[in-house]
Order: sequence, then structure tokens, then C-alpha cells
Amino acid sequence: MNLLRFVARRAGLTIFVIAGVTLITFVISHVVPADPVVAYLGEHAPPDLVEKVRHQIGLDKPLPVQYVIYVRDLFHGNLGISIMDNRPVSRDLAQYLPATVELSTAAMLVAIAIGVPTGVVSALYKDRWPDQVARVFALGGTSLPVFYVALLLLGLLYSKLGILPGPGQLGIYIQPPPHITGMVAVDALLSGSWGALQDALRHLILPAFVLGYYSAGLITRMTRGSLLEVLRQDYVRTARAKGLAEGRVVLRHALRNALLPTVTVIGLTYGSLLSGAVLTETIFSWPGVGRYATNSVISVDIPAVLGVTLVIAVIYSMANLVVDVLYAYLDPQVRYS
Amino acid sequence: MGRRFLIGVLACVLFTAWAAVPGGFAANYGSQQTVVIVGDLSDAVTMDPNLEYERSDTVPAHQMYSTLVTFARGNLTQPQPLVAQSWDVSKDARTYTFHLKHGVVFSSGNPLTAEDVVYSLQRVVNLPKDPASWLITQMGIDDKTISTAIKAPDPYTVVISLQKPFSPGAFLSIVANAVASIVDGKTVKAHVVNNDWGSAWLNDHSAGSGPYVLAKWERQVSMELEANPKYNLGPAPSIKRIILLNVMENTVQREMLGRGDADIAWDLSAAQIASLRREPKFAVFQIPDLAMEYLGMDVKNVPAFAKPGVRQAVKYAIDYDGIIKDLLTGNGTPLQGVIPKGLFGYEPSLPFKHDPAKAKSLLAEAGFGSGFTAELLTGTGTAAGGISVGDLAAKVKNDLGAVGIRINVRQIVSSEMLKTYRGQQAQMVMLSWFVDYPDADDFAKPFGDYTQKSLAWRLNYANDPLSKLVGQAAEMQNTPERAAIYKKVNETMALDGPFAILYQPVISLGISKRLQNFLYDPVNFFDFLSMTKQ
Repeated sequence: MNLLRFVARRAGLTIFVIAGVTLITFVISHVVPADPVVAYLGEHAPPDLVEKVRHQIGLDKPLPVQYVIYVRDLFHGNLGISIMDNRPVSRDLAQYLPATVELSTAAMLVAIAIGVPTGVVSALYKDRWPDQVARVFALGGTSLPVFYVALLLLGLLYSKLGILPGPGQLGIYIQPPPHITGMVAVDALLSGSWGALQDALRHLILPAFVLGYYSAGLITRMTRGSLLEVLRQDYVRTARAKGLAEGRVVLRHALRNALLPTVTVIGLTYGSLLSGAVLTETIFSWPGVGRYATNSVISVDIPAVLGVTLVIAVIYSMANLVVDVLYAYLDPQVRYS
Repeated sequence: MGRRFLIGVLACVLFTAWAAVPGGFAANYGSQQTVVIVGDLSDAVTMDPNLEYERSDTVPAHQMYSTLVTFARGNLTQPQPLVAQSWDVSKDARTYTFHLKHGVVFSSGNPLTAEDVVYSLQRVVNLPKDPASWLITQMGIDDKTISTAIKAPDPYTVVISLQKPFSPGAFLSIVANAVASIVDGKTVKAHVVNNDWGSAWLNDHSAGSGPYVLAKWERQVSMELEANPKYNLGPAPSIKRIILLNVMENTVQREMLGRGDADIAWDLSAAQIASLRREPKFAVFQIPDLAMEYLGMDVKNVPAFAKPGVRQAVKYAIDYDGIIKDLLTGNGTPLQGVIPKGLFGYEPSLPFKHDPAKAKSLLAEAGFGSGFTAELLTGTGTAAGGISVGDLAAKVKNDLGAVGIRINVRQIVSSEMLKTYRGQQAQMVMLSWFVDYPDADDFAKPFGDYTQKSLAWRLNYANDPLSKLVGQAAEMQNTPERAAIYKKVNETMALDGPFAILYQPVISLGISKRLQNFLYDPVNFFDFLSMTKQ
């Protein structure tokens, strides 16, 4: 019951956050010193065509009127029509979001699979060589620029050695799976297209690793730090004194408690992965929402920019909510109040 | 615990091993029948040919649709028959009569008739937000006049009557443009939703009579074309499948070419092209682009530029050879007139050489011996010829600084720069201009005629005699008289104009040597009909 009330109140607050985000984004995107109509028509378009199209898009109306129209459409579930590709923004997002969700989820799994064990090893072998190696690895993840790691790995594993496929989601001679969720690997799995599934997973490896490496670094550091702290606690000493095997002490007693701050990091990084995969998406030709957002900003495609911002705001709020709920589940001391 | 953990690890290892081995099954056409092009295709916004204006959507449009006339690769001055087998031009250059070939069919099997031509041009002037519509409307054909301007007296004749004369060279090159593609009226009309002229449907389907049909357009990802089995305007192409992949990063384009995953890399940098020449498996294809990179000086916002002598001083201060040799490393060719090489009216002479002493004395003569300061507005990313805008701006700043003109470079996104420039608010700009239709008029008008409200107007440069000359040439056929007028236009622009033309870029493509008979030009792009692959 408590939980339900907590979630309801948080959802209520989220609405205010999102309303604020739309208003701020709306104002900013209209006051920037760039002309969306010229950006769409190109440099050669004569002035009368520019004015005609400005009228057709409705950008000649006063700003408050445009905002009222925008909010009214929003209540009808209409995110507007993209200026650039003349398609409803919701359809654009429906196309690009699944690719990003697929990539970010894969990256998150990679980050957890690498980050947590590395952090554990690092803590258990504190200041010995496995710890040093792990710390250098984590430092690389948090400090090496994503595009650098991406180009380096692509140059080595694709271009030089040919072990992994190049950019894109699927090879060009592979029959794509039917569209179900929009996530290629998931669709291939659901439809039983094994060849496509295999190819899709091979295409996922590099971008997921590149994108996940940064988060893996964060998770490693967080796990290491909090595990070290937990291992000094009395109940760990008690568990050891009871004669429990060291593996059981670490995995069952210490790690579960140490993971608490890590969960926060994981939740928040997942939110930022969804919105911040631009560079990875660009280099790996991954048709995700990050690249869509960047193109929209460059071309001053206001409805698209607003749509992306809205979706990202919702995702961030959701990630925060999930983290909070998960927190209380992991730690009974946390109360929803 | 231990056993479960081991099984888990084993499962992961097996799964990874299975996933890591190449597999899958092939689509209909094999590698010899498929051509893969990688390039930055983020500018592709539509597959509706009557809306097409950007490079990346024009390429597929030329393959899926036919136009009344066309240009053979390598000859952009002589239109060739395509859907029209012949045409007559009235003496006053106002009435054009096209006689269509009999038996041409669309990919649907429907015959192509004069009604389809009329319908297609109606679409151009009626479609909302059409970036290419001005190519047609500038001739006086708009949504109100079209019913009287374009007529189909019988199924194989189209008559276009203009209110005022328009150069046949310019007219025919606009008719050959992708925007004037002929769509299958019957099919498109069947797919109209909410008065959209079938535009939404045409984004995912094609309805043309060209050698290829649209198989798939995945926005921002790829465009796939497949051979049109009903194509009857010429012999069937040996390339059956064309794939254009959006790969924005040119390092990755280069790697895909290297691994054989791509046959053509479209946007390689000058440095990558230079390194590609040393590799035996690849060829470099080069052709001058119908474009130019220029420096524009506003004659009102910067008092110094109001003096023709100062404008000339800028033209003498630029180290043209240095830009072409050191920055472009071969991806550019000298040009100082306003009409690029490859078009009627091109002026090969180069009146300005890098001469800082002369530039200084011209400045002193004009009363600016101690120099002056101006802000140079330019975009981000790459300049014409695939070099960094920042590098080029630094070079220009350096060259002008040497004669006492102090430049503050302001690099901003192009949509912001264009707003200032189009609003006549810039001091100095550096950007490129490219062809819309392959006729001298397409360059002479924006650069020379301020009444067009294009480049000259944006720089507040009004020259009435020059505007008159440009207008006069616009209505003429490609005769020696027209050539003489353009010579005069080029001379005036060089001596007096507000533009320092820096260079004409060269398009450089990295191509696999598996491709034979490769042809490309800056207007029609790739010729897949002649291309073969080993």
C-alpha cells in the first residue's frame, strides 16, 4: 500500500517535471538564432518560398499561440509533424527508439557483466596486481572518449582482423526478421530467424561493448568501493567466524549489501545510455534516437527536438522511480515516506 | 552453487561461440549483381521524386524515375531524348512541344502518357513544403497558372507555354532534373490520403519507369533499389540491386571499402583519397564538381568593402595555389569566374594571382592602408572538396592578415549562419554554392543579379547593368552571343563583384576495382545502367 502511494505521488510529480521540460525546450528551440524553414529548404530557396513554407508549417503564428497548439496536440497524443521528413514525430520515435533500447540494454548487460565481477575481484585483491589491472581498466572506461574506443576497436576487430562485422544492425545479404518490436535481435528471436539472430548479435557486440565500457568503469569503481566498506562490517566478520566458505561470505552476505549504491549507478546510467549514445550510434551507423536527436537539433526541427526531449524526460523519470523502488526492495531500512 | 555457476559460465561461452561464427542466409541477388555505396546520407528526407532536392534522395530518384529529357554522362550541355523522343522550341523560346515515345511503361505495367507528365508537374507546384518547387515556379508556372501553362493535347504530346521567354538550355536542364520526374498518375492517385498527392505512399514505394524500383527505404539507415523487370527505355542493367548505406563517419566508410563490404565510398577526405591511391585493389574516380567555395564581402555592413579597390585587394591577397595544393591536395581546381568548369559560359582565365604587395597598394589607394577588421561567418564541418571549414578559414585569415585585413572567424551551425546571411546582416561569409540545374543561368543569377534576392542581394551588392546582362542571357539559346554576355558577366564580377571565388571542388570517390565502366557526374550522379561488377 505504501509502495502504491509512493509510486502515485512520484508519478504526479513527474508530470510537473515533464511539463516544465516541454515549456523550457519549447522556448529555447524558438529563440535560438537559427531558422528552421531555411534549414529545411536549403540555402538556394528564394525568400517567397521560405515565407510560404513558414506559413504552411505554422511558424508565422505568435509564440504563445504555437505553444497552446503544441500542448493541445500533446493532450491528444500528437507530438506534431517533423519539419524535415514530414512524418509524425511519434512514428519517427517508434522507429528509432527500439534500436536505442536494444543497444543500451545490451550495453548495460555488458557493463554489469564486466563491472560487477571486476569490482569484486578488485576489492578482494585490494592493492595487489588484479586490483591494479582492474583499476586501470575502470579508469580507461571512464576517461577514454567513446569515439576513440569505437574507432580503435572497429579498426582492429573489423578492418584489420575481420573477426567482427562492420557498422549497422544486420549484414546486407541477411534476410531481416519481420518487424515485431523493432529490435532486430529480439524480432529475430521471436520469429525464430536463427541466421538473422546470429548476425544481429554479432553486429551488437562491438557497439554494446563500446557503449558499455564507460558504464562498466563506473560500476567497477562503485562495486569495489562499497564492497570494501561492507567487508569491514561486523556481520561479515561474524559470518566468517561461523566458518562459512569465503565465496559464500562474499557473494551472499557482503555483495548483496554492497550492490545498493551500484544499483543507483546502474539505473541512472541506463537513462543516460538511452539518450547519450549519439557518438556510438553515429560511428556504428546505428539508427537510434541519439542520432535522430542530433540531426533534429542541427536542422532545428522543433517538433522532433521537443518529441525527443519529452521521451527522454519520461525515461529519466522512470529510471529514477525504478531505482528508488528497487532500493527499498534491496534495503528494508529504506522507507517510502 | 559451484555446479550451477559452472553450467552458467559454460552456457555463456557456448552461446558466445555460436553467435561469433558468421552465418545467416543470402537474399535474392549475389555480390556480383549488388553494388553497395556508403556515404553520409543523413540529408535524405523523402523518396517522393517531385519533392527531391538533396543529393542523397536525388540519386535513387534518377534510378526509379524517368524524365522527358536527360544528359549523357560527361556532357551536360546537350540534352538527350529519354521519355520524349523529340521536342520543338518556338522561335520566341516560350512554347515547348514534347513528342513522347510510344510503349513506355511504368513498373506497374501502366503505359506512360502525356497525362502522367502533366500530373507530375502538377504535383511539383501543389505539394506543400516542396523544397524543389522553385525550379519550376521560377519559370512562371505555379498552382494557379499550371492548368493553362501545361497541356496534353493527345496521349503522346505535351505542350508547355511560358509567360516569358526562358533559355532553352536552362529550361531543358530543369526538365531533366529529378524534381520533374514522371510518376505513374494512375497508381499514385489510388494511394492519395488526406489530399497528400500520394506523397506518404511514395516514401515507401516507387511508381516510375526507370531501371530500378524501390525495395526498401529505412530512414537514416539505408535505401535499397532492385531492378525493374518492366523497364523498357533501354537494355536491362547488369547490376540488379543497389544499396546505399548511411555511414556518416568517413573513417568507417574507408574501412568498409577496405573489407569489401562497400564498393563505393562517397565522402572520403582528401587525405583518405591520397592514401587510397597507393592501394592496388581500389581506384579513385575524380570529376570537377559543379560547385565552388567562395568568400563573400558585404558592401554595406563593412564600409571598406564598399570600395571596389578593397574587394580587389582581397582577391589579390588570397593564396589560391596554397589552398589547392596544401589543403585540398588535389581535391580542387582553380576557378575565378562565377560559372564552373563543365558548363556553358565557363571562364578559364585566372585574373588574380597571390600578390600581397599589390593587395597592400590597392588598400592604400582606397584609403585603408592601415587595414581594417571584419568578421568572417562560416559553417561547421567540411567545406567543398572535403576539407575542414576551420582549416580553410584559418588559411584565409592568415592570407588576409598578411595584407592588414584582420579577420575574426565565427564558425556556427549553418542554419544560424544562413539566417544572418539571408537577412543581409553578415560582414563576410565563406561557404559553397552548388548546381541546381546544369546551365550557366543557375550560377549567373544568384551571383550577378541582385533582383533575384539571392547571393548578390544578401551581400547588399546591386549592379543594374550586370543584372540586365544576366537577365538577357537567361532568355537566350547557347549561341556565341550568349557566350559573349557571360564573358562580360565574369569580367565584371572579377573586377567589381563582392565575391572572391576560392576554388572549384573536385569530387573524389573511392571505388573498388571490381566495378567496371564506372560513370558519374555531379548532376545525375551514378550511371548504374553501364556499370558491371566482377
